[in-house]
Amino acid sequence: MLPQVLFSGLALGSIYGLVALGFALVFKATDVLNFAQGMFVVVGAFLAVTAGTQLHLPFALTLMFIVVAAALIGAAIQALLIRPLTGRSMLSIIMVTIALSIVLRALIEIIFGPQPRALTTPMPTGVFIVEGVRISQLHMLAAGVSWLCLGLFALFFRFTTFGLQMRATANGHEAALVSGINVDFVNRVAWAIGSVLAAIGGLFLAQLQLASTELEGIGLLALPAVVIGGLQSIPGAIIGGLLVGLIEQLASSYVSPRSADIFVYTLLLLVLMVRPWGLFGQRELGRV
Amino acid sequence: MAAMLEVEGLSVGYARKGLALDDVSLVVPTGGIVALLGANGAGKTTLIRTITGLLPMHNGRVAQGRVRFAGVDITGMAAHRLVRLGLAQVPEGRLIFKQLSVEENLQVGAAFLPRGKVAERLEAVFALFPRLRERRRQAAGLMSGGEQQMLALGRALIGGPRLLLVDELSLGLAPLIVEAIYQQLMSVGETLGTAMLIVEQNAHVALEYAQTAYILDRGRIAMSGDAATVGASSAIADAYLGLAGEVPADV
Repeated sequence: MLPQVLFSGLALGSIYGLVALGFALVFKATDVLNFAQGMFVVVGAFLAVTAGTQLHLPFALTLMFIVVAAALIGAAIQALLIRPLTGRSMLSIIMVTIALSIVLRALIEIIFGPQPRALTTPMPTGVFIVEGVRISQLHMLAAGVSWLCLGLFALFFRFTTFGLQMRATANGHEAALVSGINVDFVNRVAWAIGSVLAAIGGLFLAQLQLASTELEGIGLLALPAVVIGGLQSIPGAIIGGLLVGLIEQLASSYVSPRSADIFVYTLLLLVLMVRPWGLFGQRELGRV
Repeated sequence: MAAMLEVEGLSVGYARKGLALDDVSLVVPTGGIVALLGANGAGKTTLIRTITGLLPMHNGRVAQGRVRFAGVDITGMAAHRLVRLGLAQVPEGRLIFKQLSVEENLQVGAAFLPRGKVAERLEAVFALFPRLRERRRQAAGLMSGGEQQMLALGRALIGGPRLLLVDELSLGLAPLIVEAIYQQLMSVGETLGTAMLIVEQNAHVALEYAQTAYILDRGRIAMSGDAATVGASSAIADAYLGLAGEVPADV
């Protein structure tokens, strides 16, 4: 049973890592803890419902629709809600993101009704069995796509000028402005990317389960993932996501399905007490 | 000589505070080197922020007056656009990207240049500061203060600015290093014709290199003239030793 649990833990953890990467990216670039990231996952799920189930678009177009729409939503939220609050306290911006998630939930329930929706996509749902371990093709696909996205972003940050500008902005806003970076634009792109990553997570979670606003709770697992990995660390967010996935699956298989959150948040608490900058974060360097 | 930078009747305030600058006028001629002196809290940083477009992020606002750069009104223009126009700055505290490598720091400064020019400009900066070439792969935050200051200068110069604002370059550096960096700066000014506005608490150093100087005292220009005259005047002693304690600090 253990290999089975480890497999699904790592597969789900890859999705959490993807959502957590989006969360960490927004935090690093804009200093905003986006508590609406969980609802962005739900938005992604219902974008998939709209495109695939309601508009009957071919799957490739569905994917494109999700990515473009999620990017536009993320950028619009940055422009309309976050940018005007530049310079305000962290608390008021966090309150805005919480309010945003409540509004998004209400909008989704008004548009789609309160009951969960099944997703109809041509994604494989079969299982193959290796050495007695049942490998779900959908889990494999979700993990594969997540790792592809993570790899693409690593390349983007390392080798493109815009990626460099994003890393520079994350390192210091005023320094970025002084160096000629259009910080506002970088921030907008960061929100767009964060929203797209959440939406891709939402697509897979909706296919694995159902599309409903309950997916917000799963999306919000990005929060412990990011804190455990280290708020300032991009690889930390991904590894944090994997850890959360593993712990969740181990706890629900060996203890009780309801106990997963207890273990995840206990680890969160331990990390905050012993190593508040996270497993992979850096202690803030003192300013000279 | 045409003016590279003209500040006219500028008054600037921060939210819920009085004016930090009150009717300030100042000119930096094309290719000229101008010193801006004054005690802590005199308004030097506010003036720099206003010129470079950083005022909004510190909740400041221009109440009156304007700033022109090479004849163009730039009052209230976004910071990144000013850099692209050729107005670069070496900020107080250097503000380098500590987690990026030395070369990456310079590449950020060159990001708005056409792709083909970046390598050539990078070479020019390395030629100016060979130390940076030796350390190009190192994380910038791990270098000494003097090297970080060279990096901040290199990052500002890589875009080929027409005007360079240098804010408190000497802060926290040994006098010998300050001297060396200033001399490199002056050779840049001579070869490229870059105009400079040098903001210093260390009046001695600045007056040694500048042609003209302004003294800012409690948000007003207390005196201006050629560097030798200003250096010999009593206004400079007043500005530093006078009533500085009464001024709200403009941090």
